[in-house]
Amino acid sequence: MGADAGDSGEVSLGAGRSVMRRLRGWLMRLGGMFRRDQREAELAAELESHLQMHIEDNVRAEMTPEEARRDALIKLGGIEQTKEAHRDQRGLPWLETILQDLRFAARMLRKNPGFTGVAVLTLALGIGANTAIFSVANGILIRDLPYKDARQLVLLWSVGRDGDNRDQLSYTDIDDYRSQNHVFENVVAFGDWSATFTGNGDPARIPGMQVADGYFSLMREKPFLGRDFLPEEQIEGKDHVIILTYGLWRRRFAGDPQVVGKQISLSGKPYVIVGVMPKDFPMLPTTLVDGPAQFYRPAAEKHDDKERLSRHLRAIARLKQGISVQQAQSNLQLINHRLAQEFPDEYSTTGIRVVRLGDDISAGLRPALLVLLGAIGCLLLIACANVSNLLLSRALQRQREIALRSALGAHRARLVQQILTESVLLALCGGVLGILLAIWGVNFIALIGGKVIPQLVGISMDGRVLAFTAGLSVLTGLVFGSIPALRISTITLNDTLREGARSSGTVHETFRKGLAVSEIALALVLLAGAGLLLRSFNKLRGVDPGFRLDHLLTMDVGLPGAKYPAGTEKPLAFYRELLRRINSLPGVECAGAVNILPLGSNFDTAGTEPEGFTHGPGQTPYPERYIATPGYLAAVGIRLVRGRLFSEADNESAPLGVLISRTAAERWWPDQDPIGRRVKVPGFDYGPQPWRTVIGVVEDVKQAGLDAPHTMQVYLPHAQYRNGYLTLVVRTKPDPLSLAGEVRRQITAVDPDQAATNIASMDQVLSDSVGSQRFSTVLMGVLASLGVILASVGVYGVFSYSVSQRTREIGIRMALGAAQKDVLSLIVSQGMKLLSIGVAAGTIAALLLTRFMSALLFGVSPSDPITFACIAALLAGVAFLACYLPARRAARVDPVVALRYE
Amino acid sequence: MGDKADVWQGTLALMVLKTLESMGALHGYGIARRIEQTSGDLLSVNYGTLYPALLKLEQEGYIESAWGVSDNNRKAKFYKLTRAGRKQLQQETRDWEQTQEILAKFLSAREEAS
Repeated sequence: MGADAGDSGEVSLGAGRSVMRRLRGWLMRLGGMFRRDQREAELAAELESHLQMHIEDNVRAEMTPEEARRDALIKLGGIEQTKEAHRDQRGLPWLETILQDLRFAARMLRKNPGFTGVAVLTLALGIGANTAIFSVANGILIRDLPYKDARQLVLLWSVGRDGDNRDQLSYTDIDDYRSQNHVFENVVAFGDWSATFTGNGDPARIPGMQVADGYFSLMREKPFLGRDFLPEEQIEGKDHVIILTYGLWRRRFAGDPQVVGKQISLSGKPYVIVGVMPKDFPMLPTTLVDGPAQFYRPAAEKHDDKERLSRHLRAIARLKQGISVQQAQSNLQLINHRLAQEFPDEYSTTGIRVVRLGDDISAGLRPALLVLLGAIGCLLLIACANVSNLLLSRALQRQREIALRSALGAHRARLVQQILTESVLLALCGGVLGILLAIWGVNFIALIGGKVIPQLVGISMDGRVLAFTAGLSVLTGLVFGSIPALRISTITLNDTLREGARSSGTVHETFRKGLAVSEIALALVLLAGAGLLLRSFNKLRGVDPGFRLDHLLTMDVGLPGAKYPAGTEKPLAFYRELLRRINSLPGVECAGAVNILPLGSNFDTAGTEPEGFTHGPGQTPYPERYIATPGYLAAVGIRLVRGRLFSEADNESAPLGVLISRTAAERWWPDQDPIGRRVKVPGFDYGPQPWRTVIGVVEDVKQAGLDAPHTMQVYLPHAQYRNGYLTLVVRTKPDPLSLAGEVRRQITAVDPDQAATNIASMDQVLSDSVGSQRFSTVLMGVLASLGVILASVGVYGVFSYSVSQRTREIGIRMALGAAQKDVLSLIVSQGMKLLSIGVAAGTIAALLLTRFMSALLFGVSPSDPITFACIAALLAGVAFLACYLPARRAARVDPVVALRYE
Repeated sequence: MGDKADVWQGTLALMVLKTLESMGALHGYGIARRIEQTSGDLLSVNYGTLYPALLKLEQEGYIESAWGVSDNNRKAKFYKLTRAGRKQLQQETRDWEQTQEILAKFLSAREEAS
C-alpha cells in the first residue's frame, strides 16, 4: 500500500495510485501465463462449486433437479465463454499468440531440416560476411583514433612539386612552419630513434621514437608514472632521458612501479627513465622501419639539424578550433612559397602537404576497402535472393494447408502473422549464426591481415555493426517473408483444390526465374573482381626485381654511434671483420652488407649532380642511394652491365668511386659511355660534395615494390662512407634461416654488445612486400567463392523446383514417345537460354564496375578479356550443372508415375 | 470515458467492492446473488461476467481470495476486501457522489430554463 500523504492533490494521488494498480495488474497478468493448467483447474472447480450452490438454492426453491440445473447454467451464461473471458483476463492474450506462433514456426522449421538448414546458412553467410567486412571497414575508416580530439591531429609531409614523392622534413623546416603559421595550436617534430638496450634482459635493439618539446601535451596525455620531458632536456647533452611505453614497461621491466629514476644503458650510453605512458595510449601508428616504437626520447637538436636539407624528421600538429585541413594547407603553402623564395635551392622541389592523421593511416586502404564493400553488397543480394526464393517455394507448397485453414475460419491477419513469424524466426537464427560467423571472420581477417596492415590488429566487432546486422536480419525476414505471405493469404480453397498442387500463376515462375538470372549476374560480378585481382597478383609475382631471391638470409645490424662513430675506422673495421667471419662459415657462398634492403620498407634517396647533365630548376635527380660492401652485389645477384664492381681495393685511400644503375646511366649520359664520368653524391655529412667517378653500371632493382616503376640507383662503397647501420645479406647453400643462429653468434663474437634485428630470408621480404595485394586477393577470392556457391545453390533450387512442377508434362511427353535424351536436351536448353541472359547481364555490369578497381590492379586492365572469358565459361558450366542435374532426375522417372504426380 | 464495456466493468467492480464491504468475505455465487438483490432485481446479470471482473480486481490488489467452506459445507473460493480495496471504494463512492451532485445541478437548471 502506498503512503497516503493527506488528501491534498487528491486527483494526482489518485492518478498515481491507479497507475500503480494498473502496473500491478499487468504484472499479475504476466505471471498468469505460467502454471496454466493449475489455474484452469482452479477456475473449473470454482465454477463447479458455483453451479452446485445455485442448484441447491434452486432445489430449495422447489424446482426439479433438471430445472434447477438448467436454470443455474442459463444464469451463469456459457461456461466456455466464461472460461475464455477468464483466460483472457488471466494472461496477456497478444503475447500468448506470439509465443504460440513462435512455437508453431519452430516446429515447422524443425520438420523441414533441409529447407531450414539451407535458408539459415545462406542468410548467415550473407549477414556474417557483411558484418565482418563492415566491422573491418568501420574500424579502419571510421573508428576514432584513440587520442583525445583526434580529429584535429594532422601530419605534415614534404612533397615533390608535382605532388608526388612524399618525404620527411628537416628541423629548420618544422621550426619555420611552427613559428610562422596561423592555423595550429602547436607543431611538434618526431622521428625514429632506435637503440640497443643492455641490462634488464638480453641486449636487444629496440625501436623508439624521438619527440620534440610539447609532444605529449599536443597529444593531450601524460605519463601515469613519473613525468613528461622538460624543455631543457631537449638540448643535446641533457637529453639522456627516456619515457617507456606501457608495453615495454611490462615486458622488459616487469611492470616495476619503482622504475622511474632507474638508470639503463642505451647503445652504450647511460640514460634515466623518467616516466611511463598509460596503457591505452598507443604509439603513433606511422610506418617505422623496425616495427612500432616502444619508448620515447627527446628529439634534441643536433648541430647538423641546422641544415635544411637534412630531412629526417616528421611533424604532427593540432589544428586550432574551427580551422579546417584545407585552411591549414593553404596557410602552410604560403609559408612554403616564402621559404622557396628565400632558399631556392632547398625548396625548389619541395612543397608541403597537410594530411589528417586518420586519413593518413587509412589512405592506402581506402580503394581496397571500397571494392570489398561492393563485393559483400553483391554477396548479400545473392543471399537474400536465395532466401526469398526458398521462402516463396515453401509457401507455395503449403498453399493447400493455408487455404484449408482460411476456410476453417482463420483470419487473414492471423495467417499473415504466422507466416511472418516463421520468416522472422528464420532470419533471426540466420542473424545469430551470422554474428558468430562475423566474430570469427573479423578475428580471422585481423590475424592474417594484421601483419600487412597494422591497423587491422585489435579490430573487433562493433556494437553499431551488431545493431545493423540484427536490424538487417529482421528486415530481410519481414521483406522476404511478406511477399509470399501477402500473396498466399488471398488464395481461396477452391482455387487450390482445383489446380492440384501446381503453383498458381506464371507470376511466381517469372519471379523465381528472375531471381535465378540475377544471382548468376551478381556471382559473375564477384568472380570478375576476384579473377582480376588474381591475375594482377600473378603478374606482380612474375616481375623481375633485378636481383635473386632464393637462398638469401638478411638481418639488420645497427651500431651505436657512441661506440662506432660514423665516418671513422670503427664501423668499417666491425663490418669487415664480421663479413670475414661469416664468409668463412660452412654453407655460406658469399656475404655482403648494404644500408637499405631492396623491397624492404625503407628507402634512402639523395640529390645528386651528374657531371654535364643539365636539368631544369627543381629537377635535381634524386636516385636511391645504397652504401654497400664489396660482397653485397655479388651476394644479392645484381648483374653488372658495364665496367666493374667494387672490390676491397676501393677503400678509404682509393679514389672516390660510385656505381650507377642502368636507368641512371641512360638518363644522365644517353648514348654515351658512363664509365669515367663523374657525379656528386652526398655523403653522410652535408658539407661540400666531392666528385665521384663512375666505375661501373649495374642492373636496376625494384626498391619500392614489385609494382614500382624503374628508378635510378647509385651505390657507394662502404669503405668510403662508413656509416654504422647495415643489413647483412648472406647467400647460403642450405635453407637460409638455418644459418641464422650461426651468423648471430658471429656478431656477438665480434662485439658481445651488439644484436641483430629483422632476421628474415629474402623470400619472406618479398612476400611481405606484396602482403597487402595478397591479402586483398585472398579476401576477394573467399567472397567470390561464397558468392558462386550461394548462387549455384540458389539456381539449382530454382531449377529443381521448376522441373518438379513440370513432372506431369515430362510424363506426358515421354508417354507420347519422346526419348529421355530429347526431354533432357529440351529442359537443359531452355534453362541455359535463361541463364545466359544472366551471364550477359553480369558481364555488362562487371565491365562497368571493375573500372573502380583499377587502383588495385597491376599489369591487368579492368576489362581484361581473358579473365572475363574464363569466368563466363566457369559460370556457364555451373549453370549447366544446375539445369542438368534436376532435368536428369526428372527424365529418369517412370512416365506412369510422372503422369500421376500431383 | 471508455466504451460501454469499460463503463459496465467499472460499475460492476464498484458493486462487488461495496458488496464485500457490507458482507465481509463472500464467494462468487454469493456476490452475484447479493448484487441482484441489492439492485432490486432491476439488474439481471449474467453471472459468468462476474468471474473475469473478480479476477481483475484481484490482480489489481483490491480484493484477495482464499478457498474455504460455505454454509452448506461446500468448498468454495471466498473473496474479501483489502485495505487498498477499502480505500478505492471510498474514493470511487466520493467520485460518484460528486458526479451526481454536478449532474443534478445541470438537470435541475435545465428544468428551470424550460
